[in-house]
Amino acid sequence: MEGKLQELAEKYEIPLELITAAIELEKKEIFKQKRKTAPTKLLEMIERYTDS
Amino acid sequence: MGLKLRSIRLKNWKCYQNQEIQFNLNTDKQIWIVFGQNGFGKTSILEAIQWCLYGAKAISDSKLLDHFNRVIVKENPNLEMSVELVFERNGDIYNISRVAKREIQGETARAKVELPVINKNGKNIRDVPEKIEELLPNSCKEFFFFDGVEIKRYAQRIHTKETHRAIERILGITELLNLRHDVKITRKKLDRKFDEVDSVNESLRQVKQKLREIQENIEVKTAQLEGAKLDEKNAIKELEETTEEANKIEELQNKLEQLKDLERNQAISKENLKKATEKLESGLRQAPIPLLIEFVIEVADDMQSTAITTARRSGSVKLLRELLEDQTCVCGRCIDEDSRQFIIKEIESLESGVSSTQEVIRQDEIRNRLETISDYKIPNFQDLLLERDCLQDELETIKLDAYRLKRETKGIDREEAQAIWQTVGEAEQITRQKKEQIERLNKEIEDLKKDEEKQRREIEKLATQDKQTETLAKQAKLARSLYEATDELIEWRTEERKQTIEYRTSKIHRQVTNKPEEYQGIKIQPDYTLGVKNAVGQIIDPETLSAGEKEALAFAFITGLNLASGTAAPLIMDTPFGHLDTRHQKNLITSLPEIPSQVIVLATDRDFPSHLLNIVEPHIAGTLNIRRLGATEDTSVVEEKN
Repeated sequence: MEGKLQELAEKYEIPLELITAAIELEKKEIFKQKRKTAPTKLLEMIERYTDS
Repeated sequence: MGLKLRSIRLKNWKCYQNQEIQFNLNTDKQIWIVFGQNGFGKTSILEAIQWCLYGAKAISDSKLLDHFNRVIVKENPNLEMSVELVFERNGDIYNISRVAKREIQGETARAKVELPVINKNGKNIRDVPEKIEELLPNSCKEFFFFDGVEIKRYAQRIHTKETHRAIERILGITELLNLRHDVKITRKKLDRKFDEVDSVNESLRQVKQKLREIQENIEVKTAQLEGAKLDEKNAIKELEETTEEANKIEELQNKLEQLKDLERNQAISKENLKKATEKLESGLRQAPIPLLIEFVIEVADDMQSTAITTARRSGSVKLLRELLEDQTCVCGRCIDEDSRQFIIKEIESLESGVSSTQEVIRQDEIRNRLETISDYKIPNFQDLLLERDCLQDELETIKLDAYRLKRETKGIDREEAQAIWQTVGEAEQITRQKKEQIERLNKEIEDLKKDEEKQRREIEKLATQDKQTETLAKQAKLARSLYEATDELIEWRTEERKQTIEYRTSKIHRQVTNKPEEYQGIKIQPDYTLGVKNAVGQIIDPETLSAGEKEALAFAFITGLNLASGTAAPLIMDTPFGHLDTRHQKNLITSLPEIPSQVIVLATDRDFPSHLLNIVEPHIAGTLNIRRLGATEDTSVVEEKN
């Protein structure tokens, strides 16, 4: 999985830590009873990565 | 080490007043069997585990009222019942408990359920549902706890939505599917933000408008493409079905020809049978001959010597008559009166011993027939009987075949055969048209996407004129890249995990099927339904399998998914083998030691006949027995079986 993520990050020119963090966020969201905050958090992540 | 169930404590739960069931984990053995007759409380144990973990998702609060112990509730209507589970994983102890109280309000009773409590190594954990979901996901519970009678449905053509989701969860793509969905929402948010920026200049606005039109066009074309793919799928199915139908009718036409041949053969066989029967009957009529053969030979010999004597006498009479007529003796002298009288007497004497000519002819005939009889060769009755029986069988087979063919070809005519091939031709044409439509749409979408990319680059270029739009354009690009990367990741992950599950499932299937030599393995279809690869690699629809083979396939699939889940959760089976045929029952039971998870089987004696129990005995960690306390009491206890 890690190898594939690395490959995709290079192919689509996205930071590896962004896609890894996004997947981790969704994994945690699965265990939550109500799953509505993920899009907002994703937007924050994208903004944070774009700022830097 | 996977997750293992160490103990269950039930208080006032159904027929258990105060029961602790221990699974001693200080052993390498993985199989536990809890024996109990029907109605003694096996399923109650399974229900208790599910309720403790998933609450109302397993048993609704209204149905829960029936789960309070009926004996105690008479004494104490405001009864409290609880279930406590202790799990162990990698040396950590998880204690999960849930309590419900029965409350009387006026005339009605209701169950008030408290939130579950979970602690790890004695310390309470917050976010209990999340922790339980991590340990044993509710969406996958059907692969951890299953009902033996229900499992056949996994071998059906279509899975339920729940099963579909559960399989996605096991495939590990749920979070990726959610990510793709959430990134899509994020992209829309970014688009709205971009539109709201005051400083967006006119040329940028125009390019964005053009981009939106292209995107809408792509969406329309993509929807058309999906529709065309679905139509093509249906057209292919229709083509396959009509071709199959046409082949069937063609086959029936051939059978009609066969029927004509059979009717010809039937006439020939009848004639042959008649001859064989006559031959046999003739043989049977002559059956006593061997017993008389010596007597017949003796009579024939006697008649032969009589015939010779008669012939000799006839010769003498003839000679004497000639003497009388010639009036001369053989010595040349004349015959005197005395001699003449003597000759006459001799002739009379000889003639009295000679039979009439008719009599001689009759006796010759009898003698000839007797000689024929004495030459008689005993026929081989065994061969004659065998020949007759074979012909009878042949005729019977022909009759049955003819009857079957008559039934199968009833109502078939040449016109129908021609009409069906015409339908096949039409279906082929529709399939071809759909294929062309898909190719055309793919090309159009490809061109639109190139145009879309061009517009995006234009936007990025124009966006640099303003700091805010530049940032938003970068964010939109990043979100789009994340979406596309996730899309590709889902495809890759699904394929990779499917191969793992196929490998696991195929391995177990080889052990549990009655026909391992006929199958190459299990194939999981794009919609997660199952296919079985036959010896030549063709995929067989599981609907065509026998009931026993369906269960074997479903069992392999469930255990394969459990093993691939990464949770390595306990497999708890409720009466899984009792209704199977003996061969499948043996296959499934002997495969249990191969499952690396903890296996708990709630069983009746029919699930584990003693000879099969002996086979798995070396792998059994413990055997428990559910005993009923009394006929009038609704109370059971679980004890170690001696």
